[in-house]
Amino acid sequence: MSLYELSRACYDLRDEATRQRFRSGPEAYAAGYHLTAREKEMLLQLDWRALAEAGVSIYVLTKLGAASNVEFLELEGAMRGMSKQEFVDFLKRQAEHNRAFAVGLE
Amino acid sequence: MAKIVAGMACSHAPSIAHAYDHGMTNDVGWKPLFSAFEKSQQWLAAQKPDVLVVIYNDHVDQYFYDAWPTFSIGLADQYDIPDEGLGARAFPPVPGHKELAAHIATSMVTDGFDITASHRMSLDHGFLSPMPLLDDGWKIPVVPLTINVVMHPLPSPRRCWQMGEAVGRAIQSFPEDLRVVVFGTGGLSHQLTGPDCGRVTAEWDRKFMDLVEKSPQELNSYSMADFARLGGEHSVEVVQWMAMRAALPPRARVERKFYYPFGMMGYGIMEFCVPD
Repeated sequence: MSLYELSRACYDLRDEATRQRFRSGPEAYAAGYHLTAREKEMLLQLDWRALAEAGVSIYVLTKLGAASNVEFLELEGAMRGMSKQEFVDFLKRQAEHNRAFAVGLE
Repeated sequence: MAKIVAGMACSHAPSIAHAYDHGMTNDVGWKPLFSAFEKSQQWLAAQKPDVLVVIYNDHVDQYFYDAWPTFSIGLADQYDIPDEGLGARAFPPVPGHKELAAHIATSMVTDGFDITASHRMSLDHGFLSPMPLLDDGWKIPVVPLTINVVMHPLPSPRRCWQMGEAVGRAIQSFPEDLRVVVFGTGGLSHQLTGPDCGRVTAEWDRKFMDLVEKSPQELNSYSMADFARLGGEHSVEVVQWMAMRAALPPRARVERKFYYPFGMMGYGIMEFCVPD
């Protein structure tokens, strides 16, 4: 298990040319990093929850999400095992509940 | 001598950048936040600042695990706009104030505060999501500073307060007559991973804001683990609010508070004036 390598595979997607290389051949892309079979699997399957539990920072998971055309809300919903819509609904209910704490709104 | 005339704490988030870039600022959900930033823009212009000293945190853009400075300061005459995964946002490079930056860095190191200096920094959404709302067109040069809130070991809140005090001393010993506004960006509550993903702890956010206003040094008795537990793992960025407050003279007072829990974050703004 190399958290550094797994994180690096996500972090390097900051670069557009690297993103294109990833999109056109994700398996080949993953092969360029020293990943275990399980790490490769989590990466290629975009298993957001497993990646986060393995210690990969959300700040590099967002780069993997962007490169994979996965919307952030969908990625975040997956953390809770929710669909994007379920997650959006949860956030809406939470905001309504929290409204009482707002201050300084016009 | 340089004078710290005001301070401001505010949230930063990719969601703010996304709303701005996609013309969503007048949407029902976003309007309260962007209206609040508009008010802050006017407030900032009224301070007539010569330089903005902005304390924020990088989010694995500028820094990676090869080496992550606990505290860093930019010394450049301009700063890059990074690609955080969706392409670099359409802003020109941010102008720096080299003289004040060099003075702050030298003063802090001489003062026994080992800050890492950098001649080349890209400023990620920690800087770039709020600052265009406050200084449209980069009219005011900037000195950027970061605190490490991502790669363990993290500095303690107390250490971040001390960093802010050292920044304040450094600014106030700069011989030129500059009007300086200090910013701390980040927070408030948000949790971006795990089974609690999306949770916003509004009651704690309001308590945090009260403490920053009335007895900020009480926050020195909190640990990063406390902040993570109370406001979410990713909310520990609130140490930047503390550092900003610590840079201001003790007599600084809150002029305006804004808090808006929406989506995945407790969005906050606090403006401080420094009475003569």
